[in-house]
Amino acid sequence: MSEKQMDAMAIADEVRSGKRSAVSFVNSALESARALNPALNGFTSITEERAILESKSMDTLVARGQDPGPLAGVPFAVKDLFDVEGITTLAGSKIDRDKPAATRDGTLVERMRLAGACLIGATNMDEYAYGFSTENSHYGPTRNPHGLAHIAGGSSGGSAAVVAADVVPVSLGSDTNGSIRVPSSLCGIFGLKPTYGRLSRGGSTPFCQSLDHVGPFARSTRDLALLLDVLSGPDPLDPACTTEIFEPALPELDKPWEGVRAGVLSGYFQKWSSPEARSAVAAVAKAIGAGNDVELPRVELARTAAYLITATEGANLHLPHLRTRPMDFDLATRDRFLAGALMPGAVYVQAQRFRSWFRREVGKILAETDILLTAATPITAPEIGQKFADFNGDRLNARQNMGLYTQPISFIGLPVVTVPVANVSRMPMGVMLIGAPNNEPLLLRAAHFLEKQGVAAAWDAGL
Amino acid sequence: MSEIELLGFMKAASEAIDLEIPDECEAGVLENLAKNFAMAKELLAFRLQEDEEQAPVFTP
Repeated sequence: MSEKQMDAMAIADEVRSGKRSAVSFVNSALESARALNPALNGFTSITEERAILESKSMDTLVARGQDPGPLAGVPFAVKDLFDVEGITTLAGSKIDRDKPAATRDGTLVERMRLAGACLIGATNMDEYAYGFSTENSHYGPTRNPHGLAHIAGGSSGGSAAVVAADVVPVSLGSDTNGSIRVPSSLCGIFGLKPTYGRLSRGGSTPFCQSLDHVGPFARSTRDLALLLDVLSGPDPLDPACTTEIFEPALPELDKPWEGVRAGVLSGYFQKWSSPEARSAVAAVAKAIGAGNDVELPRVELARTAAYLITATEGANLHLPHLRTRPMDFDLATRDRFLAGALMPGAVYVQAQRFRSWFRREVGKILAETDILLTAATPITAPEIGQKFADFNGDRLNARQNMGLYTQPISFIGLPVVTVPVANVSRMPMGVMLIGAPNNEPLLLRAAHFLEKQGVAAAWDAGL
Repeated sequence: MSEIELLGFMKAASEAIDLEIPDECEAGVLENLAKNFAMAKELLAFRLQEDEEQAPVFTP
């Protein structure tokens, strides 16, 4: 493993033991960010001064023999919808440039800092998180480190790209309909979309509050588990954040694997799958001994309902600016927001009620099966600017349909670990491991098992 | 809904909520409305029990 490919735990081990300074890791990440950003366009801002200050303070703690935290000296990045003290949170928009700088860090940014991590910068995204491609007309497209002509996925494309390019070992993103899972899949890295309400969204720009989740990207499963543990905890700033206290996930990773029941999602979840997606699912299913195919009821309606809830809630949130500054929205979001503002209430209520029905029906299936598998994206990364793509014989809008498989799952808030599958395709392809609410430790254990078997591994972009 | 019906809906609904649809956006908004209503029809056709909860703050 090269120095650049060290995961967060390896970096923290070296800093904590005094083997290497936090400053040297942070300087290396900053150098890499400056060198690669002109090509990748992953960052919207680089917080150099802050990163250096934070790393110096880590080295001081180590020198004094004090505990610098489990993420001591680990460089990280956050999607530009998390508040970072001293800079304006853009959320990928032109409109929010007029907002004042944040006066304090968002909850998860603060928890990363308290654990010893050092913030390198904020990352590019689809405007207001409404997209799957990070082709942002205000800030330009983020490019996929594994093929610069290709999208990184979205909406957390910048956060995924800077991890995939080895600029930082971990980053934070958000996921309303697939915005962690799609870029994880397309960029060849691990991603965790936790259970709805598991991690606080305090101090982050919302998109669609009844569907918004936040979570980490990483190059290893142990880093995902560590970040889940570090970031967990109640937060009065997010009314949806659970007050339940959970056992740490990290110690669970190496527990015995036998007896876990896994199934492959069929029907809807295979209809649009490319050969690469099918191969990836088959490789994972074989490795973890997935049994029968499992079919979820009325999945197409779950996606429909998620789509309509998103359009309605998102439009309502932005209604003041849709009234006063419609032409300052990104063309990719504007007309969808305007149409969403006109949604009849009966449709929204039906969508929420259907959600309760769907949650209950899927809950019955999860009582019989511990882990459900499906491809995270039906196809590998399309090219930037590509309007249509072949989805197993259907020519569909490429931007809108990357979330075909992710959207019905986040609709009912289930936890998902996305694993990058090794050696099945020319461009990366990820598989979702889906479980019952709050069963992140089991999913992480499965992902760790796949990693140890060599079936799942972060891709090397070679940059 | 026909294009004319959608246009009528867009004009009436936007006026009712004081939302002006700029001329440059009309075609895109109509396209999205057509998609939304096609999806809405499918969703509304699904019969739910009367006591199906609404869950405005969703708990998984």
